Amino acid sequence: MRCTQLIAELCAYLDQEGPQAWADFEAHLAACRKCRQLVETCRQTILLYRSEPLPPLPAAIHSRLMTAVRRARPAK
Amino acid sequence: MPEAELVAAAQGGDLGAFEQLMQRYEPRVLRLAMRIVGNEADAEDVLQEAFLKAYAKLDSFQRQSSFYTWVVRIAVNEALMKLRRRRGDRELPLDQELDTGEDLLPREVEDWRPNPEQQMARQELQDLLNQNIASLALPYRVVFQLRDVEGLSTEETADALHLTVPAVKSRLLRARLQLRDKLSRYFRRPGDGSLPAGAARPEGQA
Repeated sequence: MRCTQLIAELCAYLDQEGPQAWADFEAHLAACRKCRQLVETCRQTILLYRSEPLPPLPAAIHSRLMTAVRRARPAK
Repeated sequence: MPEAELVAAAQGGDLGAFEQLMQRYEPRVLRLAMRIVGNEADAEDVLQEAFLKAYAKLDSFQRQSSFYTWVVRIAVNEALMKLRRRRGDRELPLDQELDTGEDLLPREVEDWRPNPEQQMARQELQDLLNQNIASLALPYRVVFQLRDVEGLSTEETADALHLTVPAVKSRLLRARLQLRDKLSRYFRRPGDGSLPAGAARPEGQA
């Protein structure tokens, strides 16, 4: 496997998607320091975004939204 | 209360149940809208339009996907329409051709310092993440947000954006590589990554 092939399969590997066996991919990783660094820092990039704390919604926004929904409520 | 019960109650006319569903997902939908439209006022408009539309179409929700995925699809659509109106474009901004044939092989790859999330204050890190994702081209930013932040599957992302699965995969790869590259400037281990570009290319290409 070449570095360019590894990059083409990078997302599938990180997401463990698809039916592929990863023996060739991992053999390349074991032999190529730059690709190991690439895979690891990509993984860290995704983790940083996945672990972002969600800011709480300001109460005023929820209350404006509810007013709009109540106004849109069909008369029954 | 489980989501399915809340959805069933809301579909039966229980406004309180709908409000609980909204409260569960409002912060995530607002963040998603912010990431697409880029400012708080437009993002709040998108949030409101998305939930009003969800409320109006609640009877048509078939429960084949989760309520959240369904709302996200509506919100993405509203956000893209908002952008299109703002820019005066006729085309959806996601339709632009992106393949420039650029080499995907990063020129510099280096280790990061351990625990990058501990390298700076929480707010500083959040600002950095926001700025860097905001600097991606829209088609990359939206795909990354839906797949990696909101946790939609590749198929759900393709469906929400009216893209093919291969297009989502290609954009996700480019988004991840670009973000990695941007964040590397802040997190790389001192003394690493200083090799000339040619020397820093991954090994094993021969």
